[in-house]
This record gives sequence, C-alpha cells and structure tokens, in this order.
Amino acid sequence: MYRQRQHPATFPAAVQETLIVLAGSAIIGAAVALPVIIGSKAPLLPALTRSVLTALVIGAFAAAAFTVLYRIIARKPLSGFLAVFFIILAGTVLGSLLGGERMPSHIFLMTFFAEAFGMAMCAYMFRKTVLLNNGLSRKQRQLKENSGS
Amino acid sequence: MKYAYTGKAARESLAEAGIELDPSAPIVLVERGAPIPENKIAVVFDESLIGELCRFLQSHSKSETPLSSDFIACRDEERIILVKAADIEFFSVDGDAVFCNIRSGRTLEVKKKLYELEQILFDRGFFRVSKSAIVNIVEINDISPWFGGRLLLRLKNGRDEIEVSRKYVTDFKEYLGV
Repeated sequence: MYRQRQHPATFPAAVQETLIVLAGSAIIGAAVALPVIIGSKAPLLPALTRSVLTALVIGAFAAAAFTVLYRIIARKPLSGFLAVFFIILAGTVLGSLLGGERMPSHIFLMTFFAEAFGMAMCAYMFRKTVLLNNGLSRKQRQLKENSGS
Repeated sequence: MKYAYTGKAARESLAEAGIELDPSAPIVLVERGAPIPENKIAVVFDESLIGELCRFLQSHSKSETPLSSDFIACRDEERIILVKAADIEFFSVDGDAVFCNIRSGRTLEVKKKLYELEQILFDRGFFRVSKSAIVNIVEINDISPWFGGRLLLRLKNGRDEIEVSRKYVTDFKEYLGV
C-alpha cells in the first residue's frame, strides 16, 4: 500500500558510513601505533596524532578505492579488497618510515595489525552491501509471486 | 481531475496539495474577490479555507475511478501508446517532462507527474529513488554503495545506472526490509 513518505532528517544517515570508516580508521591507527610509541619512549601525543592522521588518510583513501573499483569492475569485490590491502600496506609502511620508525620488526607488526583490523572493517562494510542485495532479491521474488497470483 | 484557477494567494497551496491547474479546465476555482469567468463552473472559496478546499479536491480525486496501473499511456511521436507497466524499467525527469524508459531501450514521454506515477505504480513494485527517478524494482540487477551516503542501482539492461539520492536511501532500505 502506498504511503506518503515524510523523509526525516537524513544528515546522520548520510554521513553514518563515512563516520564509521573514519572513526574505525582512527582507532586502528591509535591501537596499532600505541605499543610501538610506548616502547620507543617517543613523545606520546605528537606520535599518536601523526599515527591517527595517517590512519584517517589510509581509511578514507581505501574506502574510496573500494567504492570505485567495486562499481567499475562489475561488482566483484575481490579487486576492491586487493586495493584496500595494498593501500593499507603502502600507507602503513610509508607512514611508519616518514614518522621515523626504522625497526623492521616494528614496521612489520604495525603493518600486520593494520591489515588485520583494516580488512576486518572492510569486510564489515561490504557485508552491508551484501545484505542490501539480499534484500533486493527477496523483494523481487515477492513482487514476482504477487504479480503471478 | 484538473481545475482552472482565478486568484493569487492560493496557487502555491493548491500546487503543494497536488491539485493540477489547467486554465482550459471546465471547473474553475475562484478566490473570493477575483472575477468569475463565464461559461465555466465556478467554485468560489475564501482564502482562509484553502486547507478545506484542498482536502475536498484530494478526496474527490481519490474517489474517481482509479487509474489503471497495468498500462501507462505514453507519447510516441504523434501517437499515444499504452505501455505495460511490467515493461517499464524506470521513469526519469528532464526539465518539466517525464519520460519512461522501456525494456526495448526506447524512451517515451509520459503526460503524468512523477508523484502521480509514484502513487499509481507503488503496488506494482515501482519505487521513487530520487526527486527525478522512479525505478522498477524487478529491473534492478544490483545495488552498490556510492559516495556521500548514496546508492547506485545497476539495471538488468546493463546500460543504465540510477542513483538513490541521500534523501531516499533510508526509505529505500526500509522498503527492501534491510
């Protein structure tokens, strides 16, 4: 049955996913870098800020790359996941080196955990797309059944 | 049903209520104080009662024989043809004109407003996804996220992509039960 929709304020819904990506990236950036910063006895706040900002850039860039690649390459998520993997890899290594980190073991550990958390977040975001497409299939079946009856 | 209108203040309210105005219509809505045209049926109303008038006209239009949702009348050059609703992929707006895009790849002009089509075809699985588009849900191939909280619908024809604007994303997800 048709009902007139009221279109409630859409601002929170519109920025919700962007905020999840950015907040998630910032938390990952802090979590990954914190043990190394504490171990190296570097000043906490500047190093942590640098790490969080780097993670924000990586997160935003990876999310944009995934969105574009998923659209361009026929809705196959593999290209998007690969892009995110390499963006996190390059971003973390480059960010660590630019931040003055020279210990390969530290860089390896930070990259490893950044990849683990980053790919988990990417999978979580992609799951929403899967659920949306499942909802579409259900609706299409329902409409076909209704028109057939 | 279309009505002619004579007056100034109520035009916007009538338009907002979805009352179609046509100067050549036989029934004319006359705001008190405005001249009453000859050879027409005049409904004189006071501006303060515009709400009541709109409700009356809306209920009157609803009580008319409902427009068929099986077929949509489209203009094909100089002819009017009936297109089966199931063959329509989506409706789009270009300026003031509404167009329907059918499976064969043709685009035909429709004389109805988008909000009218939205109401008529809702039960047939057509859903409004932006200010300028209504899509046949059955014709969507897949949905992908897009920038700014929007969604992109790729159609089964492989040619067309339709954007679900931010304003409609929440309703669209709700409609799909997600």
